[in-house]
Amino acid sequence: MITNYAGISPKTDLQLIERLAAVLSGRSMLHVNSTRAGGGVAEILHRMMPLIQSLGITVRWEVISGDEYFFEITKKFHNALQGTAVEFHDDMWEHHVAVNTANASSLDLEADAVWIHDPQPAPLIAHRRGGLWVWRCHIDASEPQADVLHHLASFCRNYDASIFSVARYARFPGVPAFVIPPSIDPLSDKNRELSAGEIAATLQQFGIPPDRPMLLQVSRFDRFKDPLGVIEAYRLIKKYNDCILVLAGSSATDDPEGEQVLQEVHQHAAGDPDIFILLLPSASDHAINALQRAATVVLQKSIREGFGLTVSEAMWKGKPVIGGATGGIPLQIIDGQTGVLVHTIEGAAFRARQLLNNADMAHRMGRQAREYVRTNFLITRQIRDYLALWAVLMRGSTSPEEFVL
Amino acid sequence: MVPGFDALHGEQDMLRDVPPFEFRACMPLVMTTGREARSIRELREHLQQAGGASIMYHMHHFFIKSHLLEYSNDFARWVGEKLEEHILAERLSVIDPYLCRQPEAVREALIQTLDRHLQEFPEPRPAIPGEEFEFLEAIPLTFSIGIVAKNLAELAVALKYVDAVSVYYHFYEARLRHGSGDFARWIEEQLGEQELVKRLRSIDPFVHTVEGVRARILEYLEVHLSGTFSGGHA
Repeated sequence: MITNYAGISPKTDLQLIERLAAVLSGRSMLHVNSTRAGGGVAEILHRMMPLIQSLGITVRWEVISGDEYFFEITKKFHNALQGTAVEFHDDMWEHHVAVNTANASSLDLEADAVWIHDPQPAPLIAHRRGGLWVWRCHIDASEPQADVLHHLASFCRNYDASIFSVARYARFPGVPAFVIPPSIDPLSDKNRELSAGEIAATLQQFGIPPDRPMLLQVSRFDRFKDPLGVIEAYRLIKKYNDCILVLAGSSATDDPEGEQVLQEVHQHAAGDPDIFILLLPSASDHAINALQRAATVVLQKSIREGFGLTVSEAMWKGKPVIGGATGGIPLQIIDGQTGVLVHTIEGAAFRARQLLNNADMAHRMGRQAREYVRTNFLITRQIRDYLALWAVLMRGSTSPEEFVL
Repeated sequence: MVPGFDALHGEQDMLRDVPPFEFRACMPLVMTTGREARSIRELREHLQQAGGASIMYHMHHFFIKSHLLEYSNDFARWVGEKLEEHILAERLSVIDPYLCRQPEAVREALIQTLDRHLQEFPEPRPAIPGEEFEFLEAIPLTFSIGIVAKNLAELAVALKYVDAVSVYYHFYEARLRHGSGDFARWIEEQLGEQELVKRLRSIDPFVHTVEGVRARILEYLEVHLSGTFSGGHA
């Protein structure tokens, strides 16, 4: 419950949550998305729901259903919002709306505050039966294709507010847009403290030597995460430093491109015994936690990134993180202070060498990184912001005037 | 409670029936404004039109980040880091929102500084895509954190305990509300300790992190409480 975070989260976050809960207690909140398992949205909702419930707020979670064509269309929305050229036809817009209309008749959409997550259920706003409605977009929508922007904006403008993880993802006119980054849960299996024995057991399980400097990247096998670039950087580092490289990612069996990238990663590694490529099952939070805690330097050398919460996960563990200067990574890494931002493979390699050879620098950065995550990217901050937004909307004005609680 | 301090000063303060210092905190709920600048010229255009709340947000919330001291506001940081216009970044960094106080005065100072730079360097490069300046604003949520101090000793103890956002609220954000930090103002109005007030007001808000500010205030409070100021209280 929320009191479990005392001594971990900032005191003022917990105090503000208490104040807001006093205002909102007895009311109801509903979250709607398109999957109950897999992905960051479901992960955070699973952790957040009981915490909000413990505040005296009734909270429910509904999941929309759809056929294969529906999810093909919404995947295309996702790509088109990120700037990939996609061709749409009128029947696609119509099917997106029709599936939502069908869902509206079977879902209970009654609540005082309704949080609709991502484009899939966005048209549900047409079936609003009271309450405050907020559209929460988790996607990088910084370069949206005009037609998909037009289609989604026609729904979004009917919401009371929208939420984006990064300011420049807010491209939908006509609705107040709030910036609320995602968060990590310090008490989850992925982030809780582990004993030295637990970490050692994980390394042994994967055959990773515990006594050599370890570079780690945790990410899907996706070109935007640049795993081949990470191997290139490792080879540049290896000319000067002994080290091993661990590339760990979840299963990509449902993503044909993911499988192809994984093959390319294996080919690029070319049998190097110091490169460990780990294809982890989806429920591998404990293993990821142990790997992050065992790493000497963590990389997230993305070329494109929605937010990149793996950065905050590693920072929370006091690790120096080298991140690609893209998407939400610069929000987490203050260059040279809470980590290092890089633009090239060469930059990643050079900064990794600095960190491998300067334990004081790595330690200082890791300490500042953990504190920065503590004050900005823990789940209590996200709950605080969600409840604050709800209270602000109840006030009836989103103008930037002081709200005294 | 700080051992000894209360016996020295706290009882006297309480006898005076001083209204207590109430610690509060402020959390911003951040919103976008839809304004985005790709270059210094666009930054200037948006500064002419942007709401005062947005300009002031970018001028003063920066201090709570606690890590960067080479810039003092978001405009300077963007110009310095993303456009690599270091001369302009230095000039923007010395604009003091607490001296200007009114958003219109800050707006004018920013635009004058940009105009001067554009006269000297008329063709600055634009930001690369993805590194544009996003104009934000915030709804400040303020609340009591349930801690009060009735005398200097209690103020010192509480100051060690409260989160940085509370120190920020009373030291930085207070300057926008009434021109000076809350700690010095309370001590001046309620306790009349002028030497201590003078020292607290000498703390430069631009050259410390919030933790640095906290340490300085504590140092002055504790020196005062132990009666070792050379020319004042003792």
